Amino acid sequence: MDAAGSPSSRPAGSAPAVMTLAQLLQLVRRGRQLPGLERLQIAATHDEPTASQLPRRPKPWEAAGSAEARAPQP
Amino acid sequence: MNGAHGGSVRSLRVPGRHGYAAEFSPYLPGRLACAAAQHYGIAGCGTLLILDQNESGLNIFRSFDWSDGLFDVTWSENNEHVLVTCSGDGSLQLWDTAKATGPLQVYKEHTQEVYSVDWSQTRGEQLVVSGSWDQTIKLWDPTVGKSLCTFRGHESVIYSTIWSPHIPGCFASTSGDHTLRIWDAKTAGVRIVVPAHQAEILTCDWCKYNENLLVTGAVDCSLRGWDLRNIRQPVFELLGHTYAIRRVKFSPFHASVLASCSYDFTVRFWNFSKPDPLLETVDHHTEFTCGLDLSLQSPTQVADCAWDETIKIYDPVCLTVPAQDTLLWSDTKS
Repeated sequence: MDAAGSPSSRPAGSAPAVMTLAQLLQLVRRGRQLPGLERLQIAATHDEPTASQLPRRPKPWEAAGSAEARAPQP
Repeated sequence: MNGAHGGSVRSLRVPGRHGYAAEFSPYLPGRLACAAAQHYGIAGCGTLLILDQNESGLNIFRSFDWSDGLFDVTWSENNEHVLVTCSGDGSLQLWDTAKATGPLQVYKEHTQEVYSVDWSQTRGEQLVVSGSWDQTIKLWDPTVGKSLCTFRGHESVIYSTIWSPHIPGCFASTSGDHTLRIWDAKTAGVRIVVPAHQAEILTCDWCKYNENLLVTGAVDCSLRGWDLRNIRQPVFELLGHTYAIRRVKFSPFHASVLASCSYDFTVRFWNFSKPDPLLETVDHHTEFTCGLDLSLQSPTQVADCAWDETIKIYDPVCLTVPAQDTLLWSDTKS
């Protein structure tokens, strides 16, 4: 593959480029634009979390140390 | 024993995303969270994947994007919908699997990459600890918008912060400064400093059946066990990885069994109580393997993720067919 040699041929937002770490580092060192680089602006919604409906399950090590039943196997 | 599995491997490839952390839900069997980054975490955005496994394989239940690479994830211990991630831009994000749009909250205080987050494991506490390349550790109550406390002392980047499963308010951290440190959130101070390796320490974990025992994994390719009552020398050393160890986890079910993943692409399973401690080497990734977790619901199930864009859930042979002298969960009662 030739991603390191022709980064500009791949417009941003196209299918993700398959590049090895070495190829990527080479582009960074050369100050080249990285193919498919996604720049997102994401902000918090400040919603409240959905109410929990499940009880806390005992951890396997907590079950072992108490009279509680073992955590059920799936 | 190379790459053998006791059952089928469920695998999912996520193109353009390099896996950094995988964590099983403490509530829902088979639900897995994966923190991933574009371009190996060096540039670009990140994605939190919520996966469910079924007969047909591993499916994406939800996918959340963030503006920067996501390096770690932890599930809430008091709400099955909630998770916290951390990212390269110095922030933490609170997510709700039932709400498809964006993070509920973003906490931005660290000044460099945040490499680890962990939700407290002891009953009665609901706190998150984060470790950053800014050399500080921060303590968070996710219902409060600001950190409760900042812990200073490490002299290099922090790679790992993990709560004790037994001692309330106690957590461990590892750093590029070659030390393992044990902290007390109640006094906001360090309790123990262990010069555990002569190399950067990328990971640590607590034994689930001995409150004084921890394991560290380092760039020197070794895993070392530490008894906090006597830290002059390790109580065990496990050798076999050929590149840096990125993450280590003690088994939730077996007192002396642990798993480690490495930049040598492998996941290795160990029983430190045996003369020949290496149980199995799983070699099913083609890049750095960074994420690793052992199921809390199934004693045999393991999840991992790597920079080869794949996430895998499987049952390694050594956990499905334990040797007779392996200390099993059922034996730890006596």
